[in-house]
Amino acid sequence: MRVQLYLIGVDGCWSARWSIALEADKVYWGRKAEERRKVQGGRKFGGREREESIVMHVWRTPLPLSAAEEAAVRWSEENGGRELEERAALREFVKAAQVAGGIEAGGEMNVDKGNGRTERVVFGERGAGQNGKNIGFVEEECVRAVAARLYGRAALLSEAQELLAAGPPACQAVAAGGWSALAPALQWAALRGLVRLRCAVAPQQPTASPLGRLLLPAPMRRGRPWRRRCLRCGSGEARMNRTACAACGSSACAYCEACLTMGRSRECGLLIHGGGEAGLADAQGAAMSGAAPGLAASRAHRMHAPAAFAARWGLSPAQQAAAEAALSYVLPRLGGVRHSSSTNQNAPSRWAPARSITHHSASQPTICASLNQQAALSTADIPDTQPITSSHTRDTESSRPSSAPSVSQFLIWAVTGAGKTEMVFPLIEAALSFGGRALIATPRRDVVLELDPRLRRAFPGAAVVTLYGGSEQRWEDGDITIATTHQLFRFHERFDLVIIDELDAFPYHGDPQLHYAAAKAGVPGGAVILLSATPPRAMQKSVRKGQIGCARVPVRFHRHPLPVPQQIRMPRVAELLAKHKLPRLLLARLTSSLARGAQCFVFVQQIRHTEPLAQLLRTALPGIPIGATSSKDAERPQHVLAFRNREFRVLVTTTILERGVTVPFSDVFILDADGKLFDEASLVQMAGRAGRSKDDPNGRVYFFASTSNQSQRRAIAQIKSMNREAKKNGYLLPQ
Amino acid sequence: MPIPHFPIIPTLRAIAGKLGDLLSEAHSPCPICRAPARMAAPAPFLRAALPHDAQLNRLCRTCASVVPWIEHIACAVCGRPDPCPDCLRRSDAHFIMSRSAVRYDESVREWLALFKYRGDERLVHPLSDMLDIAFVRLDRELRNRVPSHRWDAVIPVPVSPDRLLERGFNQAERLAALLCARRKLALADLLIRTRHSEKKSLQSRQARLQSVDGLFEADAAAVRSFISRMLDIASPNTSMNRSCHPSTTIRRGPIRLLIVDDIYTTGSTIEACAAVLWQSFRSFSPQLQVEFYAVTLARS
Repeated sequence: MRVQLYLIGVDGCWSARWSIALEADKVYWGRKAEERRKVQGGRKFGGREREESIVMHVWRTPLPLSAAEEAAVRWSEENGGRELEERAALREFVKAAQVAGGIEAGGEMNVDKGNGRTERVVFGERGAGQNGKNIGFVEEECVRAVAARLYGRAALLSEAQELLAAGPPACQAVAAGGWSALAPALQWAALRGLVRLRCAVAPQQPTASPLGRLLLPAPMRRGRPWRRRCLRCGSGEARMNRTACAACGSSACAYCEACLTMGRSRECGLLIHGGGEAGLADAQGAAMSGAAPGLAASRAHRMHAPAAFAARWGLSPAQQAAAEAALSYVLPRLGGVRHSSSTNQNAPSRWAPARSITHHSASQPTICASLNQQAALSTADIPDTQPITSSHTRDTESSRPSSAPSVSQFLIWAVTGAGKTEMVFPLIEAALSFGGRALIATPRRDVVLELDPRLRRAFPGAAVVTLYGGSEQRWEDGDITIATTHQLFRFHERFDLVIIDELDAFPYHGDPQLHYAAAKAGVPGGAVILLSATPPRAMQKSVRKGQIGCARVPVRFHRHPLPVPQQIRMPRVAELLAKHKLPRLLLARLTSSLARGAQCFVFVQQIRHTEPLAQLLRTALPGIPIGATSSKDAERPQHVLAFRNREFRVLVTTTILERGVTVPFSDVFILDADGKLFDEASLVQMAGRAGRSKDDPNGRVYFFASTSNQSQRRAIAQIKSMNREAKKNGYLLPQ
Repeated sequence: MPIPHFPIIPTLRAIAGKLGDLLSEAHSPCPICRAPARMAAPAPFLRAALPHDAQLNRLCRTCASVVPWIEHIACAVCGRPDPCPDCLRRSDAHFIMSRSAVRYDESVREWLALFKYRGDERLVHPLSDMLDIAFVRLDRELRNRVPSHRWDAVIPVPVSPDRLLERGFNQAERLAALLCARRKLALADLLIRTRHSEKKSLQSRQARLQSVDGLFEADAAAVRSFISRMLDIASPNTSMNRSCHPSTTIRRGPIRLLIVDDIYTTGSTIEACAAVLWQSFRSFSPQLQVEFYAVTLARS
């Protein structure tokens, strides 16, 4: 889309902005000028009347959204926070617009007059029309409802339309009115600081190295083209695809390939960030009505000890200890967030400037400062090219009370089968009791579906929303949200407590977009809990350095030690298949497991090995039903179910079943354990399939491999160290 | 999230891996499914028709095996692989013949949906390569009949202005643009779509035939300048034209126009486009002979 760029000046303080509905801005600034005139009307400033006015210079031609954003950011980069003459400000404005819009300066031009490209509008001059004073432009109720509906969301325009259409009647009316109703409402909400309108794929200033900064003076660096970054998923230039765009008229309008499955995020498309702390405070009545009454009551008694929350969930001693440790991390953060927003009005919150403009018809310096602050805003919270998550961390550091410890996240490192979900319940309860929103993000959809009824049972008073691709609750607001990780792209600073499950598993592993999404879904300074049985080494290192808080749960819920894998030498599976022969060792172990009544998982590296190996096993073990499955298997759920129901006694499979499958009474056979697809984490996870039930806690685990490698040794060492820790802490049942 | 640290050996190993991926062509991602799978050896007719670097030649085995190529044509008019009652019924068609590259089956439906509705514009390359195959076949067929045959312009079927704003592009125009660039043809926007019809896939055959009434209009100004350009080239009055294009100085035979669309279902869209253009050409210059042909990506 194309938007209108303008320069607005209040008493020599200028800022550059863009608008999707310029008439809304004109009304807004007209009212502002009116208010100021009333305040100053009593006081006599002899002969200074001209300066009381608010001056606006509008760039006549609408610009593509990203060009307008770039111009506004460029302008404030160079001139933000300075007091400027109108002529100087305008000259800079024209320059910025030309550079950003790719418009040739066209030789010696008279920039003072903007060369006819800009139009000057003055508000608040005596007798200069009642600029929109009595126009019932956008109804206040309506704007509040829209802002409340968008709170904590990161919505593309089409998503915002759907969201509003599914909302309360006031929102439905706006959505039904199409663009001509939506644009002024959004723009008005943005002017009031209730939502932020962003460029979905935003221009970013290229960061100069210290050397480059030294060698190239600022004016020369200015000429470099700005890079683009998707604000929804955090992807940079590498994932941008530039195509001609009919909506903005640009011949190379970038869109983000990385998050295409969630709707197209485009350079000229809007991304609407709803609310933020001030948005909440401002639209309080509407935003707060969502909280369940029972929870509001329980908010009265605030300072619970961690133990009080953890006590009533029937946890094992190890779970209890971890939950308490996590609670002592979570509680100050929940209190801190509320505290800073509700009582600490003077704190420099990111939404403060807009609020001060709106509510207090403030004295000159305040408006001046707030304008500059707001101008600086647009640059301040664009994550730079540093690791994406660090900007969030920085926010966290600044807005938290100083008493809170300095770790930004908390890892619950719980062995497979430790009962992670139960440990999370007290944390959620704590968040809800403070009136906060909680999020559980998990990689797999079946986990989302499984958690949903458990949470509804545990928190009957809370609204639980389940989100996944094709979910019917897509646009609902809830106290507890359970979502697959990709759904997180649609949130922005919404949740006080973010719980991320299996952060080392498939979609997270090596996917910076999901980490970005998870980081921005929580409010700044809120609590982030990570759950994992096998945290990646980089994270283990941060734990050791004290950058991440950590609680280990070294024992399963049934309080028996983890089965330690046994290493056995065996040729490669490919060789076995070529020779059509199975080694006696493997068959002996299998028969003995089958004889004791166990279900046998057989893990192999390659999908193409599953069926042939199953065939070979069928001939070697006549009379035993043997199945095979993999990610390419269309009937995978049925096969897994058949295995669980003991219709198959042996299941040959790949890493696809390394997590989340619980089959009571099972033994694990890992073939080609030295293969490169099985790393330490996946070996530990596969070993974790054995001995999960209380009735058969001592399952058997075998690593069959031609060589012993580091992954196997580390996996075994990790399991043994967990068992040692459990024993030391007295978590194990007396033998 | 923690800032990851970069131990030197894994980093080096990762870089080496990336280098290896770059060097081995077999691991470049499939242009359709984006999986870094092994690529299939392209079929002989693809290798013959497309340039070496065409993306369609780099499909993975899975994708290459599911492309439902139309190999035998049963209807000489619309290029359908099965007998075609629509063309028999139609007595006054304004287009001469249409050819499609593939059947409109589940996988093609999915690819086109990704391209059109989800906006994955990378798919334009393999899809336009498929369209190119249809064009090559049509071109060869015509050359067999008229050896001196040449194309005067390619006309993409337009989408409505609202949809263009919403989608950001016109799929037929994108496909046609790539075809034109490769085959050195002229692209001409001579049509306007007045409104957008209901989603075609939701309509019955009868409704579909009727819904195109008045759906398209010829862009009068564009048609006029197009005709004058045609006549300019045809009249041997400028020496420049003669020296540059000796074969085009004297116009023999009719103007041949090629309409491009993504899907051919009943032919009503192509027919409507051809009809309004024919009307418009007649009104400007009645003696001019115009022939309409069509290529589409898929034939349902």
